[in-house]
Amino acid sequence: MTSKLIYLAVLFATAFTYPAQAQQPVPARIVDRETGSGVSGATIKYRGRTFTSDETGSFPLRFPDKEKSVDLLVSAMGYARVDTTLSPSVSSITIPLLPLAAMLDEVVVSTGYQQLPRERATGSFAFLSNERLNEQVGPDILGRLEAVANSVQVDRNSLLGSERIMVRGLSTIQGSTAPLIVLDNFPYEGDFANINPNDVESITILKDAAAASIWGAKAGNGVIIITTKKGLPRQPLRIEFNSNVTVGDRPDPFRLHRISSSDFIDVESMLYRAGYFTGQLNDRNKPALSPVVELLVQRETASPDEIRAIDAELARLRGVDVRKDFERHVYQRSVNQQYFLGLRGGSDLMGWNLSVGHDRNSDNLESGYDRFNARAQHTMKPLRNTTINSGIIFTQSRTSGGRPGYGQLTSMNGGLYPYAELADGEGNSLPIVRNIRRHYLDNEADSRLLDWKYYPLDDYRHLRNSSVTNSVLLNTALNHDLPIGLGLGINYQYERQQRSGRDLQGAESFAARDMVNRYTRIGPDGRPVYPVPPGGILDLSDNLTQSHNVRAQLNYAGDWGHHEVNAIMGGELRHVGAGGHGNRLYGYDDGILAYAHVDPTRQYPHHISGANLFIPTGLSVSRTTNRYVSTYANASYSFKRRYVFSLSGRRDASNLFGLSINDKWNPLWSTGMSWEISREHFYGSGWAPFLKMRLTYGHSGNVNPDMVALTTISYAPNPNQITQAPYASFSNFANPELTWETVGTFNAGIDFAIATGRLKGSLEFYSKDAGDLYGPAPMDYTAGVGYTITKNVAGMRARGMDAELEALHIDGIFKWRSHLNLSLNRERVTGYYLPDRRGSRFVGYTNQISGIVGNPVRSVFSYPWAGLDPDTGEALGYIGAETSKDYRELTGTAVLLDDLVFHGSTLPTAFGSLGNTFSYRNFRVTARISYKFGYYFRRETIRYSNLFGNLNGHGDFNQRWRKPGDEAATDIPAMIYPIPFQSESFYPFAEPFVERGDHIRLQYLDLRYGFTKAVLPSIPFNRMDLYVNVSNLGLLWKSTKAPIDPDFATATSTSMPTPIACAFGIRLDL
Amino acid sequence: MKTKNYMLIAAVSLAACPASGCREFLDAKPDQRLTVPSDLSDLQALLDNIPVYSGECVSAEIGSDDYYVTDADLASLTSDWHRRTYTWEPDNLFQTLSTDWNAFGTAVYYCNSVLEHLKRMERTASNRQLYDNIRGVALHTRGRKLFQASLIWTMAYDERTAPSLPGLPLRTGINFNEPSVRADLRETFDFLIGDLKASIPLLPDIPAHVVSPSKPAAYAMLARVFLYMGDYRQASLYADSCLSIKNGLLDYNDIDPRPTYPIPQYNGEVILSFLMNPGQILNLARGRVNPGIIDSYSEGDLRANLFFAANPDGSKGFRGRYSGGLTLFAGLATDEVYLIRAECNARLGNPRQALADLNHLLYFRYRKEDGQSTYVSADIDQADDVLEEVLGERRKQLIFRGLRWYDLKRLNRDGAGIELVRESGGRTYRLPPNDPRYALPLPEDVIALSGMVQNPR
Repeated sequence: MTSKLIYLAVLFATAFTYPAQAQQPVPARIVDRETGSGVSGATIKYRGRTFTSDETGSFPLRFPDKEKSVDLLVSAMGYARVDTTLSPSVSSITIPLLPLAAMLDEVVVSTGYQQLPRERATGSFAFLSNERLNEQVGPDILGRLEAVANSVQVDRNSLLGSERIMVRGLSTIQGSTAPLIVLDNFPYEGDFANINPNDVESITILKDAAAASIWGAKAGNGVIIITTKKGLPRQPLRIEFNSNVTVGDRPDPFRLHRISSSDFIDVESMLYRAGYFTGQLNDRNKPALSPVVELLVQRETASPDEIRAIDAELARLRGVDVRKDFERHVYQRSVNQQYFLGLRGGSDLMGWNLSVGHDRNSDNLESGYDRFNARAQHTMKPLRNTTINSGIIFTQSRTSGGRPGYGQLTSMNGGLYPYAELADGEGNSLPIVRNIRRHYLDNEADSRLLDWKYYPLDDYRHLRNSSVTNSVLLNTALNHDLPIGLGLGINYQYERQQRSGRDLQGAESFAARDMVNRYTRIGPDGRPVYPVPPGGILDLSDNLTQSHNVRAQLNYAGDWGHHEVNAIMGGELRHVGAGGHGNRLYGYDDGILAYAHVDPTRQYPHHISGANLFIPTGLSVSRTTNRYVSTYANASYSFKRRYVFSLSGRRDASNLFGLSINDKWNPLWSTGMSWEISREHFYGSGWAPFLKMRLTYGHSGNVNPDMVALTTISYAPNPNQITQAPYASFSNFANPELTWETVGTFNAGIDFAIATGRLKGSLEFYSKDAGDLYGPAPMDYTAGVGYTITKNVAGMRARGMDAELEALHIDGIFKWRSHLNLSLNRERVTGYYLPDRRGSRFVGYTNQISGIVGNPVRSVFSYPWAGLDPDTGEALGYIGAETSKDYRELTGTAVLLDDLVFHGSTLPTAFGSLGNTFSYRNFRVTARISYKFGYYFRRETIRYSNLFGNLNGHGDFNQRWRKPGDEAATDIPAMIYPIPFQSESFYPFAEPFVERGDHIRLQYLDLRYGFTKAVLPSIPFNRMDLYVNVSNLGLLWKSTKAPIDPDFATATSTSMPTPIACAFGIRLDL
Repeated sequence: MKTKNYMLIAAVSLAACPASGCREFLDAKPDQRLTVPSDLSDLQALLDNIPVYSGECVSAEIGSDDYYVTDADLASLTSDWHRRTYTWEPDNLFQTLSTDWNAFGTAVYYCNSVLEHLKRMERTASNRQLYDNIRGVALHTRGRKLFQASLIWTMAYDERTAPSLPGLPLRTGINFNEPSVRADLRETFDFLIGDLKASIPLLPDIPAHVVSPSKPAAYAMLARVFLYMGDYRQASLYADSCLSIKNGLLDYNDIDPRPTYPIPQYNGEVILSFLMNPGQILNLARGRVNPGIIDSYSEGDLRANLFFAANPDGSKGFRGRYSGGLTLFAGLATDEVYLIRAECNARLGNPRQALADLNHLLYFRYRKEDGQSTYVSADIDQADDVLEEVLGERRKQLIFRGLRWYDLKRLNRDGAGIELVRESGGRTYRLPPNDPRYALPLPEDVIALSGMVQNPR
């Protein structure tokens, strides 16, 4: 774009050429390219001098002599910067400026501290335009990144938490992998779901060491900068309306590989015969038994007629699958509606932007999410040298609970028997067994108790869970130009988020009835006494988070001759305070707001078991304060606009507890250079008009919160219920052996445009060398500080490559564009400092750092597999060269890491996406695939302990070993009761259950048709787009033969892949 | 205007930073609940974290012979470890990352930390009482945890062999990087007795609550320790000291037998409460009391009903828990102290005093008629063997308290020759007297991580 402007400028300039005398001022004028009117207040720099254009846009231009051309730099508020070379052979010059509002694809890198024209950037940035972000639809902006952003991936297979978004893989071992999210100028403390995607202008992702040296240690995992739409001066009124409806299919519980009801009934019958349930039958606590076990109990003493009826019922239950009831009665289509109206405009001295948005979502389980956004933003220039920006964003969102889904609805021990029936033939809700034995409730329980049954299809109607979040974000920025190229900027942002939770378990809900019954006892007069009064249970909570951010920054821009210096330095203060409280009311009646008191200081015997119980109070109070102080400086020097050298440094301090002041300050620095080869005289390549090289290196140190100089204790949120005294636990242990974690990051990149811009992109190589990384080290827990403690456990090196390519294959009425993201990332352990190499530590589901130098940081290991015992169907492993089924030994302390089988990385080593856009006249189709290669995951299989104890059976059950000979065809061990000692510490972690994760996914399909006034003059808009967007289309290819989507392979979960969704929308530009 | 104020603060702070100006700003606590232990109330709060100290390992009870488990119930246990403990397997009795061993280590660490911090605080006239109490509680608790752990992980104490037998790691500092080394058994006992003795003058006669140690608790604990060591004179003296302060007994006639767990928790006999988690194996339905024990209660003995609950299948589980609920009581109570004093007197040639204590205890255990107990006091002339009598009553009163294993270890050491036999799954398991398996193996991963010596197998 810049080169285009230069070209235009030169064109205009040369159009008015006639001989002129040297040293004479040449009339020159700066104009708006769109309107042709003069631009006042523009800054013109040449030969180390600075001029300002007058009201008509004119300024004096003098050439030193008639031979020498001059380099000219023109900048003006609201316009793209122009960098041009003028020859003295002109008599009059007009320099057109392109209004920023019209320059949608001009890349200006926003670091959050400064706007950097791309040619001055030395670091690694990925940029996502508004257009690319809008190829997807959805209420949440971050959810759109994975599909389109370079080097961004989301790890869903970790048990460490929910989905984890990562930029360029891992930087540290412990702690968050989450990148820092910045909204305009400051880190965003609120809920990211509050950000309306329609307000987003673009997203910049900072990937290398420059990120950390700009944003501090929190930016070690990269920075995602969200830039919102701004009103700019000299912008014509623009009205934008966008609305869409997304309908998502019902999830399919049959895609989960689960045991069949018939198999499950066989298992229960086997267990019953083996006496597994006698302990429970004998138990005075009346633990729940499944309907089949109850039938088997009845069958013992039944008459022949009754036996026939029982057998018929058992046979019927074999054909029942609760997943059908989930499909029919629980899961709904999800419906998301989105409405957005935005207005922008600007006069000479000010610009403004107003928008309102409303989202209304109802998911597959009818839980709701409503959001209302209103935003106002204003820019003005009250004085020639002063700009004031101010903005306010108000968001109100409300979430409400829905029905329990498959895996959430439980009967006993956290599981649900697969033949559960939620409704009868007419769709009436049926009770299912829950926690307490049905036989007891039907025959023995005191009739004065409340109904103690659970009706899952009705229950959610009595639960009113909602949370309302009100958030206000205010910001203001003042920029004042000082003499000699200096500028002063002061930014302030205030953020306030208030979240109120209201969780009502109505009197009719199972939870409330259960709570009342548990404590009920029958008094001596035969009347029930209710320590927990009958009625609803209302939990209320209020949390308030407020943050203040202040930044003061001095800018300098100066140039003389071929030299140009840009520098900033500043400091910031940040205070985030959060506090909250919660309480609970019993015996609550929402109709009249009545409630009753309970005595939480007394113990009452459980109605059935007689165990002493306190009544939970639901009281809580919390207060946290986080404070940060930072100072930073950043300078770049460029020579002839070809060579850029940059240096950046920062120091952060926080109120991390118990740190000595020296450790509180965390220094970070980075340095970089770039060379725009295509500006060199020797560079005459016509086919590659743009070529630039960049290099950065940065160093950061990271101090772990555990690295405190003092041992700290934490008071418990509630008093000890027996003594009513406050009590405390150790929260951190002083560990003088810890040292700082250090990371050095090197990045080299080239940006290019070839074939006259038909193919452009960037290619980057990076390496991260980290030493003394923090990680959990196993501890001799005799010492009394727990099983693990944070230590400096390892060093690692990550080498990677990011490529981003944009190609215009066919141009004309029919256009074909492609956008490719490819990231390669290889992490290697370079040093491992822990002596403990027991193999059992490295096979779990939690990703332990690999203890082998040269291996990926997160590696998948497994126990060597010797197949199944041909006689018994038990799993076999190796001890030395011998096969063994002594599982304790196979998983014991003598089996070391080196005895395990190494598979590969748990994180994809190659990933990215490919989008293709085809357009014909006003019709445009975009399809995007994403891919992940070179990684492994451990899949779930049948675990008999879960099957017997938690009613949770994996579908591998029907492939299990049953008779000699089966071992040739299957790796699933036989069902043996009781379960062989420690076998489940062995076989689920053995070779056969590791799968390759490689797959290709069709991410989305976007179809749009745009009408413009030019095409269809009758429409009352400038432009109207109609679009259809289909997402979650599923896998195109996967490596594993197991019926698993590798992105949804969490080892123990019952989560189903997100079902296909289709959006229909309209976007209007007035 | 808040905004303006902040701008001002910012400007001023920036000017001052990073000099001393922002130090104050950065001294704010990140979490209000967080603190560096700096005064006596913080140390008290650490000691009031009762669950850290109150849990004892149940393995000793699992290994003893007051109950049995049917084959079907044994097979249905979720815990392989309990199953193996039941049949006295020589190894792998504790899971990797053993909660039992961790609880022991954690409690000792808390006590050590409190003692360490206390050293840096000044004992003044005004804080003397609290200061002493904190020190007393920490010392007492460390001593008690070590003794209870020695029941599980070391052999019976015999003064002839103690110097050559492995004891427990005696950690006294708070440097967790220091390796753990097992002391010998004599050092272990010298150390824990030292702790318990030192706590006596510091503790109050009456604690704030019986979850906290007191003077009688220290005396009772020492009586328990010396009885175990076979030092009956000392045991008798400490029991006596305890009973001179706290000597109340529950009249079992006053207890309503209808609740599942009829004996109230923190009742008048409880000197110090600590507990064992029975797991599945020792719950009412699965841990069936040996019929021989149930038959040993005479006519009129209220314990036959108050202690046992009939299951639907006719077997009986133990419900007479001084915990008042699901957990098993392993703590100190006056009934045990009476029995200790009685046993010591019987062994020291004072049968009359022995019988006096026994009669006093049993008076409250039998049904009352017309305000008088139906218990017929044992007479010195009728009692052929007072010691036998006392030991018999000991077993009947202190059942499921973790004390049977303690008795088996000390009585077999003195030649009682009690062999335990179990039939399970068609196999017969035996635990001969003084078998090395009376010292359970330390968790295997602890051995691997610390390099400590394992108990001989």
